[in-house]
Amino acid sequence: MQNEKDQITNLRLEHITKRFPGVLACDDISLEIGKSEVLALVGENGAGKTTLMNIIMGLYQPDSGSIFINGQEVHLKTPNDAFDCGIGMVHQQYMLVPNMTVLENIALGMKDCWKTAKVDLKLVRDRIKEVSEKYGLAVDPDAFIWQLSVGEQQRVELVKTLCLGARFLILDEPTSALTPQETDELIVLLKRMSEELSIIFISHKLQEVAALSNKVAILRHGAVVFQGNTAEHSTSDIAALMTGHEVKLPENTEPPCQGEDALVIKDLCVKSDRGFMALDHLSLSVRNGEILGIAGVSGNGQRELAESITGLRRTSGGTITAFGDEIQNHTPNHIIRHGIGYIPEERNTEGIVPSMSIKENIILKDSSQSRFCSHTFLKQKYIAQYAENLRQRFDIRCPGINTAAGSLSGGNIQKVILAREIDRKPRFLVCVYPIRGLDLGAAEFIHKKLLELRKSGVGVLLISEELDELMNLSDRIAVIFKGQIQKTLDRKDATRRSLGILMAGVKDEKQL
Amino acid sequence: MNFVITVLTLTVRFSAALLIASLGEMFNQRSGIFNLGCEGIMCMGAFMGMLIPFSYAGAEAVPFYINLLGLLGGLASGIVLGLFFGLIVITFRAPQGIAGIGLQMLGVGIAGTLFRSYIGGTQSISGISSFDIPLLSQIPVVGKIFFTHNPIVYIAYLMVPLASYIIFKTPWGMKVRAVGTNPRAADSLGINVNRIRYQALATGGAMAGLAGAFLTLCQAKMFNADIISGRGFIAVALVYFGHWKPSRIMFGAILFTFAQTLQTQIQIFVPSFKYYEFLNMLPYVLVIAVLAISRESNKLGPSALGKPFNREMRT
Repeated sequence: MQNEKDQITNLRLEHITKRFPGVLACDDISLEIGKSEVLALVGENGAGKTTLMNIIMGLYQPDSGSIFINGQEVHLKTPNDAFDCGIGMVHQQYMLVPNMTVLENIALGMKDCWKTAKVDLKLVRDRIKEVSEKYGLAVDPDAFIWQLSVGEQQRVELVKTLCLGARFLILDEPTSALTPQETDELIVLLKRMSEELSIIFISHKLQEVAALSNKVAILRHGAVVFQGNTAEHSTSDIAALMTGHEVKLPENTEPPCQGEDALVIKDLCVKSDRGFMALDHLSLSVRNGEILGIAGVSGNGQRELAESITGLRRTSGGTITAFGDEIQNHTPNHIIRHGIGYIPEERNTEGIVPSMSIKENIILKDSSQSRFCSHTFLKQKYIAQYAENLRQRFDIRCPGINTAAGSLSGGNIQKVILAREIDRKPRFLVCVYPIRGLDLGAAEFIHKKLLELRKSGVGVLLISEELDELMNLSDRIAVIFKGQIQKTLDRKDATRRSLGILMAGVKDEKQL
Repeated sequence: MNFVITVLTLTVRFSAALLIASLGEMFNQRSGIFNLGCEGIMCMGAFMGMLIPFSYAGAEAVPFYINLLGLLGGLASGIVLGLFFGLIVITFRAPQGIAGIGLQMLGVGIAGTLFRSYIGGTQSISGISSFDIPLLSQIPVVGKIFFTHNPIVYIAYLMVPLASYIIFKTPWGMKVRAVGTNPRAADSLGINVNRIRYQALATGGAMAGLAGAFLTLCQAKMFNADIISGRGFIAVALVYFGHWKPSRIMFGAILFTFAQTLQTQIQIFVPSFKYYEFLNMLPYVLVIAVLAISRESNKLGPSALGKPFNREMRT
């Protein structure tokens, strides 16, 4: 094991292979990271990036291969071994205990503060202070984790990792849940930290890769297909290597649309789960054949907006009119029959029933309609044909339509939902974070389908945090802040800067 | 007035078993394991509490240390059953609810069988008596209610702040809370999730066994197979009622025992009331009613409760 103070000047992986039942997650991977280097590890979902990092952390054991630190072979059997070597990881799903304070969460990993009868919280507090000051990472040690925003939680994760003595950082998709501002701040911070530490970070977002890393490695199907210096390659080259083909995210280039109003919301007031006003007299309208983007930092009422349109949440004031009829506080079934489709935020829990098969999930909204059902019996043959047809058209990659939907990757689950919602021929679609956590290939496909839907004259309400997604697809972009629409911009007026400022709550740029 | 004092005195005395068992169950649940088998462990503990003094001297008086050995025997049998439950639900990842019901039947079954083969029929033992604390017990009203009990009753109440301290202040308690709320986080910090859960189950089992032994040695001074009469299940309910906090669990234990004592005293004072089954039922209905109206705030509870941990399972 390494001495506490030793810098990690070199970490080398040689021929790492790891199999899961039925999957070759890592296929003979060799990588090397030197002093103060930042290596970006990119690849599609399921390419084996997270598995590889979990092997370095001692959470998984490789089937074969070895790991060397500063030229010496190490055997990492548990996370403790990795900590002892000075390796720390910020996982994609934050590894924090929500009902404990920041202080306690950090104390959980700091063995030197575990006195026999008591946790020495003062020691932890001092260590946090030291780390916070050194790296400019402010955290409130006495806050409970559940009280913190996602961005703050990530800062706690970073502080935790540093407090535990990490001199080598692994970050698994650190920006996937952050707002654009938080992402920018994180990149600045990591750049500063990389002067003293080596960093491996996993990302889908190629701009970040370009901004932060000096080396890049691309994984596909568990194998390294490319390694090189970031500066020598353009982001489109990297995208092509990552997916195996040229990727160009589709853009909406059509002129602003002039259709009739499909959905009109007036003075909508809705309470959040915690009882405060999540939507406060919000008004907006979407035309047929128009994509209206809703930009905003999550938690500003997006969830409540989507749920009140789809009938999943009671409203306390105002009206929602779809095609001339008021639909607020009607049952979800009524609203579905009224022609409103929904791609929900939580695809695993709200979008599908994970334990049911793909074909069952596909007919979930119409299982009692005469199309799929006669005299209370399901028309199994027809359903199978129908599902098979959708599987091909929507390129759902799965062993078969009888596979449990929950066993698919995120991108394929989203395609199942998309197939169901689009093929029901909705008159209007509510679409929430459709490509969150998906890789480029899947994102490209979903964007294409949304644009096709628009072209066929369907109005779409697109809620997203990804500014590129909004600017590529929307005809108009409305910025939501604290439950109200700050301002609605036409696509031609929307820039990252103007949206970012509105999202931060500033209505008029001149105020800055 | 006498009636009131009697009810309150007995409430304090009889709440001890329930209190010890539910504090034990709190450790189980804080670590993420839901042990419905508490009833069975208590029954086994109660039997041990009978067996040890009885095999020493039958119904005759025995030295104090033999009774103490009885309590320890109950505690030890609880540890064994707790660890056995751990083997099933932690190592083999069996569904906890079903396994718990099985453990309850197992505990009651073994205790009942052993009782019939070693002891035969209902026998009484001398047990540990209550005594009056000098001076304090002389205080009018209060003295009688609080200071005329068995030493174990005081120990049970001392366990409340102790359990609170252990769960909230010590490194072990912190680890128990972590594995019960986000086992993945604990695992990523190098904490052995399953080991902590086994330890918590042993602790909870020990306390349930002790509570059972208390029932035979200090309260009933005899044993039969339905001596626990649902206290183990009430203990599980009280942990929910108490939101996994020792002080609130104590409040629940007192409330339930109060209702229980009140109804038995009514039966004694009004023997003409025919429907005693109805009165027997009331304290349990109270528990259901209180659970139904007390809103659960899951933010501070163990959110991984009932879920087995498997590091290589992808979620």
